[in-house]
Amino acid sequence: MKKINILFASALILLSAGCKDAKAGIKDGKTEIMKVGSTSITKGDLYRQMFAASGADTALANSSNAIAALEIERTAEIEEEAESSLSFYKMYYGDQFDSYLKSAGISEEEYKEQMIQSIMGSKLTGKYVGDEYETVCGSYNPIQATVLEFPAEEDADAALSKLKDGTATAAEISQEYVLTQSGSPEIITINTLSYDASALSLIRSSSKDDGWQKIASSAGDKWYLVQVNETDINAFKDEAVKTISGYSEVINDATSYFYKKYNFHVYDIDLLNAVREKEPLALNQ
Amino acid sequence: MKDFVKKNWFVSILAVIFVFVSVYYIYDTNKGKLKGKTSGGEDVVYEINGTDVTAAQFYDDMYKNNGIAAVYHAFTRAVAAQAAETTDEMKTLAANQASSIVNNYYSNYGAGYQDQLDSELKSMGYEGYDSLEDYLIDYFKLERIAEEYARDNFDNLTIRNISYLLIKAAGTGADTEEPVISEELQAKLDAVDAMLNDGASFAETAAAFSEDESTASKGGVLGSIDKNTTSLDAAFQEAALALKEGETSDWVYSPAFGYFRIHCNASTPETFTKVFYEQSQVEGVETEYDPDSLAAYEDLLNRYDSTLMMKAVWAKGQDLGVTFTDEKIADGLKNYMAVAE
Repeated sequence: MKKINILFASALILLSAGCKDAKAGIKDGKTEIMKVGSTSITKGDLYRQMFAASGADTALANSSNAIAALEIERTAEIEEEAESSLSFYKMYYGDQFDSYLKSAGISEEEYKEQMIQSIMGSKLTGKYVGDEYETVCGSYNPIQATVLEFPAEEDADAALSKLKDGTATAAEISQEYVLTQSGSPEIITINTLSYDASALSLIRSSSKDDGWQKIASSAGDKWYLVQVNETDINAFKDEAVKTISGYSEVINDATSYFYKKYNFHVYDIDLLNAVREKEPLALNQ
Repeated sequence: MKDFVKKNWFVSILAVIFVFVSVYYIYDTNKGKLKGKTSGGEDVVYEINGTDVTAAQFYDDMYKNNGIAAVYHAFTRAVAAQAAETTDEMKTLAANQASSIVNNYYSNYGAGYQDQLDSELKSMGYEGYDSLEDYLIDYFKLERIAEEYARDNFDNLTIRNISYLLIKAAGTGADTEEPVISEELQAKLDAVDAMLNDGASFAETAAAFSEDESTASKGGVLGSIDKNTTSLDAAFQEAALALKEGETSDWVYSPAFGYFRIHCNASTPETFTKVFYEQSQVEGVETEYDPDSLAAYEDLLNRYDSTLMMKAVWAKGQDLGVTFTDEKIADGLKNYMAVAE
């Protein structure tokens, strides 16, 4: 009988064991950091409060920095950019900047290091697009082309004549007719919406050999002159990476890609829920 | 054991079935649960690229990310809880304002308003959405603490109730020297002087001549300022704080605005409260005069001295007794509250 009782007691203990989601906590949560009158404020109190204010942001930012440190080269250019921003803040905020550093308990060097990490983090999407360039180009079909938009057909005709006989460049035409476009080649992808569909369709169906072409907008209220400059995606990689890196869906893809690549994993249910709320693409669990 | 099983075979079978069901139940219950991890005896919060971030490290990381704001909220909550009583008026006002805040949040955040409010309140150390009124009551207590501090430190803060009139001077802005005064400008300045010298009140003169449209119609009334007011022109502020009640300054030149004459309506606590009451009556506020009212200090707190609340709360905390076990936190808080020596 005694053995049966032991068996049942063990079963009950097993039943109640491990039924909760994990929560991480600091070991010295009861350590007092401050006492105001009769109120004691502990490290645990502060941990919970900071977590509510910025737990997810901190975890995501620090993880992004860790990823960037592995993926992005820390160049002199990046360090100069951080130094320049630091100088600006010091000049603009004056004494308030020093006060901020003292409040945060960080030195100027530490603040500059945070800026460097942030700049490196901002380059991750570009790195992703560069690394996965051919796959990404398969989705967005970039073409390098020059586009000029005219409100009047006679202006478009006159400009087309000059462009075809070489008496003016696209930049010169842009200045002469005070156009919105600069006359420089730009990257056109399936996401490009800044021109009428007729112009975009003509670009996608043309080649470099077609030279300058004219087409009216679908509504017939504007005229476009278009020239395909390059269709070889490797010939304009830098420009294409810059353009495509700005697309929100690409940023999302990059986020998901890198957090998965570096096995971001959360072991605290509150943080998991907070990250799920803030940046669900970072999670692969 | 064998004999026991033989004798009680039915119970034994039930026991075995029970154990299997229990094991399956435990497995099934736990399979969806988040598993924890430890490293070096510490709980791990998350890992990235095989590097564990423990709760201790996470605490340090979060502290660097503006943790001092959390310390400040904890400090102010502790002061509010001990240094001021909750009045019925505070409870009623909190209930009304809570309703208004909820409506605003709903307008801005739609269906997610409750989560947004919940998150913001938790970040300040409150339980969440349901403690909105508690937060408001604490805020009213801190306001009262600040108002009483201002009243009790009236002279130290150099509090004044001020009116002014402005004659705009052409060519003002980046110039640091007074421009040459044209005949037209001189005539305006002389007209103001003449009216004041003839015995007209400052309010009448300001209404007649002031070129500052925001105050001219109110007889030039600016309101309450003190030595910590930062939104004023430096020359204006220096001249204003030097005045005693009833005094009017000479012409004060400001490169950014032109020429001011400034009048001090109150420079003592008694007159300060009375003058504020009279000015509020003119603006249509219907209340009875109460010499103990702190409304004038509330005006100072909300409009012209953004440092007052923190200084007052710090001072009250000192009265209650504050001790820190970490000097870094002590220094950080003092800097955050702008009370560092």
